[in-house]
Amino acid sequence: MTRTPLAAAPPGVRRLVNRLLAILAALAVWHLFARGPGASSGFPTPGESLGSAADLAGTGAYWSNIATSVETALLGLALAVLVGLPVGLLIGANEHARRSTQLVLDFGRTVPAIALLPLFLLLFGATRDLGLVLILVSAVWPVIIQTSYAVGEISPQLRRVGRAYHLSRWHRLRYLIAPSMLPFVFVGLRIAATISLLMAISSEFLGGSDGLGYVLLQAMQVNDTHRAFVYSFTAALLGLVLNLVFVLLQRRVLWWHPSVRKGGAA
Amino acid sequence: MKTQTTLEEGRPDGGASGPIMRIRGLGHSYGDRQVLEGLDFEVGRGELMCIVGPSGVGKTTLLECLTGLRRPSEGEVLFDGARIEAPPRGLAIVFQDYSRSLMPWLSVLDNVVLPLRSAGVGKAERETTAREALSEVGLSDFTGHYPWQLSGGMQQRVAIARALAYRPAVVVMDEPFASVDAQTRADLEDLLLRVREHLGITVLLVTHDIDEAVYLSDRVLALGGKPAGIRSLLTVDLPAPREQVATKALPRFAELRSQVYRLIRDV
Repeated sequence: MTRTPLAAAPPGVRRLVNRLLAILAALAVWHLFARGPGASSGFPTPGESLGSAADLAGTGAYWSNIATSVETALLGLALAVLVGLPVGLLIGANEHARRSTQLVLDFGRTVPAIALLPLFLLLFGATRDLGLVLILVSAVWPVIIQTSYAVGEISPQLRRVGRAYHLSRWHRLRYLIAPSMLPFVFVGLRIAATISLLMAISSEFLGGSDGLGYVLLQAMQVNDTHRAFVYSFTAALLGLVLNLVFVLLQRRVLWWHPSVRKGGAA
Repeated sequence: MKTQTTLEEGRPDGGASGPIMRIRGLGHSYGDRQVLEGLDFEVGRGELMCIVGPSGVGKTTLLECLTGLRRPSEGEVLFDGARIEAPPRGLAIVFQDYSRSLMPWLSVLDNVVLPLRSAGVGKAERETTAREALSEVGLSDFTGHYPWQLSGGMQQRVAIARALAYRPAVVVMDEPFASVDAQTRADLEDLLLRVREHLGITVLLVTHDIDEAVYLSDRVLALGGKPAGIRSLLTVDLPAPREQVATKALPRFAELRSQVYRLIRDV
């Protein structure tokens, strides 16, 4: 077995080097494709894309479009949480309600919101409201389902502790019920956030209101593949940033949870 | 030394006489299945009584009825003369599953303090009481830790400290040492005897371990049969203080152990 310098490096460095290698390989494949089979359709090389990205980043319109899409996504998410959380709590707190709403919930979460787009387009036109409604009807489900599920996950043992030690109503809610539910509700929030961003951009793309989705559509209509590429990448980066935000948030609010904490077994 | 006496003085039964708990005609059934039948006994003030019985005999049901967590289908439980409808204020419970009965999002100190906060005890006093209770179980250096950073035995000591800080007249323990290793178990048993001696609390401990019951108890309540009833209420006349090796080596210990064993197993 030969011992390369990389194998001798600390694991953190090795992981970083491996990741960079993977990115380089992807860029190389992309470059070769753009030069070869993709050349006829105006497929940009990584270098060209970087150039157009730099150009676009210098314009105010690029940033205001991003801001519009993110704003729609966040507003829609807030709306989904505002509706989903109380509904989830009501359903979760009542065994009867849980059983009778099962079918509606399963139906609701499986209907693709995009299929409802034509209907909503007729109702709301190409406005931000369209995006918000679309986000609400797609992102509200994971919030409802995870919240109702979380209610059932409060440990009966902790409930007994609450009763035995006469914890006040507020203390039960604050120190017993809310933290018990948080890990599950958080999963719902994270799913809903991803859906929100996706739906915000989709509604702009399909409905034609301002935002990242709309400029992407415009770029495609005039066959400007370079700009279309930059917009697509921007959307992907937004998704990554959103995910990062949630990872950091999870570390902050669920630091005690087995999935996050460091050290300690049971 | 004012702070040293608060745990000992704050308890509600402050020196009244007569049994602290009185159980009359207690029975319980789940649907048609009768689990407990016709239990009559009393728990004296300052007594350490173990309720022992084989697994599945209904020990947990009995404990729930005794603590007011479950309403018995027959009979009644009197605590300090009053009929129990819900867990009474003068009673603290230590549950078997320490990892589920402590809150992982609260520090060791905050876990112990929380019931006192709910009871409206002032900030300075509740912190003093909690620290005192934690020092009683030897965890003074771990107040800022979180339960999941501690070993199983230490987590159960936090749960015991939480019970002590509550200043109860009676501590009820549900198989408190069943999920720790043998050495830790012996340590915790001796800790319980020390604390009980020091604070003069009444302890009602449920266990399936006959050795443990005989070693700890003033009296052993042997539970058996279907539905379960009292097989015997046995006075343990072993000398105090108890000691893991010496006490268990006594011929009387072996006698009592076989006696309890026969009571529980023979139908």
